[in-house]
Amino acid sequence: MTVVPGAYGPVPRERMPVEVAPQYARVEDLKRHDAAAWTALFEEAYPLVFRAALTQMGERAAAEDVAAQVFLDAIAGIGRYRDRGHPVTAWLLKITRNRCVDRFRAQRREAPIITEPTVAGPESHLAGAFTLLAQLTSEQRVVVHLRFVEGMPIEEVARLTRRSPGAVKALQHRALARLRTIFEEEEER
Amino acid sequence: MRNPFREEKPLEGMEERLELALSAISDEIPGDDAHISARAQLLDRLKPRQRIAWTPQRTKLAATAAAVLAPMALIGAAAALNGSSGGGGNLGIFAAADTASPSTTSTTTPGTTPSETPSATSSATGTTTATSTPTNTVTTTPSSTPTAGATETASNAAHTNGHGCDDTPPERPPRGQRDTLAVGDTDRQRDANEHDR
Repeated sequence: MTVVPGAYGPVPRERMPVEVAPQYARVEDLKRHDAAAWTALFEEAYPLVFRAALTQMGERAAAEDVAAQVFLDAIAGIGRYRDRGHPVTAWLLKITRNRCVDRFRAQRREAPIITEPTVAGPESHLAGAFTLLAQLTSEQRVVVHLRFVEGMPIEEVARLTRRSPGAVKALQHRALARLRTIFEEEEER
Repeated sequence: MRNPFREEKPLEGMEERLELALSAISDEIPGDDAHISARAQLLDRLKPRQRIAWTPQRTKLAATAAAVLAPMALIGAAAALNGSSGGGGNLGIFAAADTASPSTTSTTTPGTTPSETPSATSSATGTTTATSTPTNTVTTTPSSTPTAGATETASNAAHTNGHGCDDTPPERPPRGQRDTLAVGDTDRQRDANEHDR
């Protein structure tokens, strides 16, 4: 099997090389539990899934656990997966969010608990980002992650979240409006 | 719903500001140990499942097979219970048919080994030539049936050859052509206005 970078990810089909097989062929490989297909998907989507989990959880170790668990759940559930034209990555991101929500429910909370580092540096920068994200809902965090962490356009975020572009814009608008108050409070200080 | 009396502040510049604030997450990559561990778990999970891919079609097939086989198993169990209790179940009918069928065979095909069934043994004593139906007439006479000694020998041979009774080759009758049967009266009987019975 030829592994083509971007074949599973959010790369639009029109930008793919001609020799790339349609996605359903790759889904069939995954359904056959083809090790090469799963390895290719893992290598390509694992960083994205990890950052999605990190955005949700606000904790590196927990995000790594969730990211590993997502692929195990994907293997277990690939038989029920139905290809409706969405990228497989969209399905993985959905699993990621569900696993994070499950963890929050188990801990009886809805957002990550951020501990502010005492020393300024990269860690404090990261903690500041987590503090911002903790003010958002889980769905808003997904959109913010894809838009502002991964830098995807609205249409790509809509594909990966299986929403309309209008719905993505609305979620983004509400998230920005929520965060604006936090920025204003920081400026007043 | 948008409130027309509420003043909305513009969100200009917020996107760039948020992008800058979240740039720390953009640079984050999973650790090598976690990456290797996750990939090992993935491949480990794939190993036992490489032969069996549980697709929806296979799920449907398994459900259909279970739906078909479960009633059959129940019927079989019920029939077995009826048969073991000695009642009048299907198994009893089959058992009766099993006991009745060999005698019918022996009357219609006298060329077979006489020792196969009890009725054949009785014919070996020279008592009668049995017929199952009026139309099925055996052309061989009582004198053509083998003797009791031959019956015992054949019976012993049938049971000692290691293959059981069913595997015993039919013996050629002592007189006449093998397995010649005439349905109804022969020409001679018709001419002489005679009948077997």
